[in-house]
This record gives sequence, C-alpha cells and structure tokens, in this order.
Amino acid sequence: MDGLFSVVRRKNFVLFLQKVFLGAMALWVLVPFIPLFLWSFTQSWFWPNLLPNIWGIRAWRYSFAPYSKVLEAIWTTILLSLFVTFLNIIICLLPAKVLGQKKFRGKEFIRLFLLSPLIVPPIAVALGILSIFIRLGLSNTFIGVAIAHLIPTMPYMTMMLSAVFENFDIDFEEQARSLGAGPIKTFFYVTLPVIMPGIIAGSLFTFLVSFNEFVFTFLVGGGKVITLSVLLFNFMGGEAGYDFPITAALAIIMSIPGIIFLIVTERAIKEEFFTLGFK
Amino acid sequence: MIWTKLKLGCKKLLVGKCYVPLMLAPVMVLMIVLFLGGLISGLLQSFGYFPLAGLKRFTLDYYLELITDKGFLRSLTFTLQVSVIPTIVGTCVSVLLAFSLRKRFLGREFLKFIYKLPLQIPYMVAIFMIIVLFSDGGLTARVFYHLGLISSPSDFPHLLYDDYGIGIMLVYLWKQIAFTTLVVYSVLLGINPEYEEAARVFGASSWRLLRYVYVPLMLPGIMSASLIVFAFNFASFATPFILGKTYPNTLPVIAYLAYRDTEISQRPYAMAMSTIITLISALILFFYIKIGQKIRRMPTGGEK
Repeated sequence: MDGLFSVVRRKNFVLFLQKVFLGAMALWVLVPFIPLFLWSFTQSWFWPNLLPNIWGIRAWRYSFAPYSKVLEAIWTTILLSLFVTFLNIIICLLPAKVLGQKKFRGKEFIRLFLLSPLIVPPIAVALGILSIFIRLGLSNTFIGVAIAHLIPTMPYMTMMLSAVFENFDIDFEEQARSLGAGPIKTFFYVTLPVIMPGIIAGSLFTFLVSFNEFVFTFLVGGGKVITLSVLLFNFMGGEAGYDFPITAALAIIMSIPGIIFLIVTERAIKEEFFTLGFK
Repeated sequence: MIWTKLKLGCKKLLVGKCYVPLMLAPVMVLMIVLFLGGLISGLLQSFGYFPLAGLKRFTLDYYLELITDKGFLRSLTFTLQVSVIPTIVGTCVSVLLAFSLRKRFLGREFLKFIYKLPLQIPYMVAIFMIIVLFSDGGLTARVFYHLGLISSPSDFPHLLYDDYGIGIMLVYLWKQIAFTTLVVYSVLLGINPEYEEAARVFGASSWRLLRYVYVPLMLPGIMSASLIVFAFNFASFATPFILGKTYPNTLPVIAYLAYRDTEISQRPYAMAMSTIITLISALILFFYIKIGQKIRRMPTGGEK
C-alpha cells in the first residue's frame, strides 16, 4: 500500500510541475505584448513606474496623420506585398501545374532548388543581387525591391500551388477538352475553380512573407523604399533615444496581418500540414 | 497555310519533349537569374573579380586572410554561440511543450492557439518587445526595483548590447519555440498511441515515457526542426545588428558593415564572408536532407 501511495504522490507532483511549466509558457508568450500596448498609449512614463505616468494617444494620432512616416510606410508595404503576390501568381501557375501533375526526371532536384531560398542566407543573396541591380539601375526602386521579393516568396507560392495540382484530377481537363472547350476556356471554367483554394493559401503566405520581409527591402531599397519593417529597423537601429510610443504603435500595426493570418489559417491548415516537407 | 503550320509546330512542341521545360521556365529562369545570379555575383567578387575597383585577378587571398584573421574567427565563434545556444534550449522546451500538449487539460485549446503567436509576429517587432522588456530601464528592471533587488537602472545586468548576445538569443528563443513546437507536435500526433499504452501497462513514468518512447520516435523531426532554426539564426541579420555590439558581432552583420565600408576595397571581404555563411548553411541543408530521407524510412513516418 505504501508503494502505491508514493506512486500516486509522485504522479501528482509531475502533474503539478507540468502545470507550472504550461503556465510559464503562456506567460512567456503573452507578457512581451503588455509593455508594447502600454507604450503605444503613453504620453510620458518615468522610471521606476510600472504604469505610464500620463496616458495619451499621441502615438496613434501621429501614426495616422496625413504627414506621418508611418502612414506612408503602411501604403508602401501594402502596395508592395500586393504587387509581389500578383507577380507570384502569374509566374508560378504554370510551373506549379507541371510540378504537381507530371512525372519527369530531375523533379526532386528542381523541387529542392526551388525551395533552397528558404534556407540559403538572404544576406548573401541580397548582397550579390545588389551589385547586379546597381548596374541595372534597379536598386533604390520600388520595382527592384518587388523583383528581389520574388526570391523569398516564390518557394511558398510554387509549393502551395503544386500541392493543389497534385490532388487535381487531370481527367477533368481532358473531359472538358474532349467536349470542345478550348485551353483558355478549360482553364477558367474547370481548372481555376478547383485550384482556387491553393491560390488563396499561396497568396496569403506570399503576402505575409513580403509584408514582413526585411533584408531584401533594406539592401535593394537602399533607404529609398521605406516599408514598415525598414521604418521599424531605422527607429531601433538608428539614433539613440528614439520615440518609444511611436515605435510601439508601429510595431502593433506591423503585427496585425500576421495575427489575422494565424486566426484564418488556424482552421484551414492543421499541424499535419507542416510535416509535408518531409515527404 | 503558314499560320496553321506554325500552330501545329507549337502544339507539337507543347505536347512533346519541350512541355515540361517550357512550363517550368518562368520560375526557373527567375530563380537562376536572381537567386543563382546573386550568389554567383557575390562569389566572383569574393575571388577578387571586381572590375569596378579595377580588380580582375582571381585569387583566394581574401579567404586566406579571413580565416587567419583573429577578428573574423572571434565573430565566427560569436555567431555559432548565439545561434546554437537558443536552438538547443528552444528545442528542449519545445519537446516538453509538445509532450505536455498531447493530453487534455484545462485551457489546452487556448494554449495550443497562443503558443503559435510568436510564429507570425515579425522579427522586428519581437526585437522591440525584448528591448522594452529587458533594457536597463525596461519593465523587468522596474519590477526588480519594486521587489527591492536594484535601486537604479544601472544596477540592472546589461542584457542588451552585451558581450554574450543575450538580447539576441532572447529574441530567437521567443520567436522559435513556436516553430520547433509546431514541427515536433505534428510529428508527435503521428505516433501510434498504442506505444504509450504499452509503456504505461509496464509502469513507465512520464519521464521514462518521454525519454525512451517519444523522444526516439520524434528524433528525426526534432533534428530537422532544430537544424532549420540553427541555419536561420546563423544567417539572420536584423536581430544582431540592432541588439549586438559593434564588436564582436555575427558574420552577417560584419559582412554588411564591410560591404557598406567607404573603402571599396573592403567589398571582396564582405563577399567572401557571405560566401562562407552560405557554405555553412549549405552544410546544414545537407544534413537536413539526409534526415528527411531517414524519416521516410522510419516505421512511424507514414502513419497517421
């Protein structure tokens, strides 16, 4: 009987430890958000107060004022991400179809090559590209940055699209063709509706990656193309004594797409999806 | 007449041998021009081919100079240090978290949602969070003051812009536990629950269950997740640039600074450094693929 009790007690102790651990993890994730929100609503906040001395919405008012750098960066970022997403859909559609539906020699190698920008250091690629873009006059331009953004985004779009093409029954297309539909008609009335979920998912990923991208924008944009991440970097990496409330507001604005993305994909994309890479 | 012939010719081309390469062309051309082109342009400059500065002779001097340079080696060890430590710590925490998430408890759904939050918060934002939390006048320092542990901001240990890169590692940890947990947990979901039942029948404790049943089965997943994280840390630029010191700092930062140097003769060194960063990442990628192949051969690899 004694042994049994000690087993039960030990089990309770392990359960208790597990609860402490899980609580600590929740705090670890959530606590850093608190000062972020507090700072964005701060007028002044002196040491050693735990809460702001004077609250205020100066930072938020500034962020959305017509002359504000933040507002300008918001537009630049959204425009850039939408443009990059659009380019991606056009560029990746046909290659993804082949990768999803055809079997050919060297397919694994091509797949790996297309995925490699995810793991090859962006700084190395960006420094090399910068030298080329300077010669072509593409550095410091919006178009140049958009083209550079293709490197980190194309892997996502190609893989998401080829995944839907893999599950797409090739017979549908052939049936449509045999009934007299042309290739363009077949694409718009048969193929497109079926692969739409893939296009949407790929676009979400692409938009988000482009929205958060820093290294390529920073190097190729050369301080002329100011996105939200570049602005945030300039605030923190630049001069000392930068404006904390405005930086906090900027940081919150920058987090919004990611959080929306997480909520949207929570239902659609399950954990299992992330093991796809191993297959 | 010519038109129809042309059309037929095109059709033949499209259904024949050229179909696959033609369809792949858009992505492949861009990848070769931009991605490979960028890498090769850097590589050429690192070998001293840099016409803009009047350099046209191929040489290995820049590499040789770098690998014998004390400053470079110090930066290399610093880079390895700030990338490896958070990878190991983060992976251990992730394994524990994934293991704890497998059973039902109060608030499990909530925790399963919020642990993924850092995954979608941009690095730049995470850096700012760490600054407001852990700087000398930050929230942690203020809490310490109210607990009576310190009396002024200068008493608080320097966690940012320090010699050990603690601030950098904190950012990596906060961001990446989410990622490793996601991967490890998804592998865990694929493990047959009968293994656990069998282990329990024979009286295995939670610790033994984790150590001798789950960890060995999840090992390939754990390894590949931590390799990705390691490669990412090794190559990251913004975090060490903002939270590190001028010296020592990580290789990507040093490479960038050399690139931006007013002395244009520094350029080949920058490119040699970025090539070395790429080589190390390629090595990591190689191990990643090897592990991926191993997974396919695992008995639990395909099970759901």
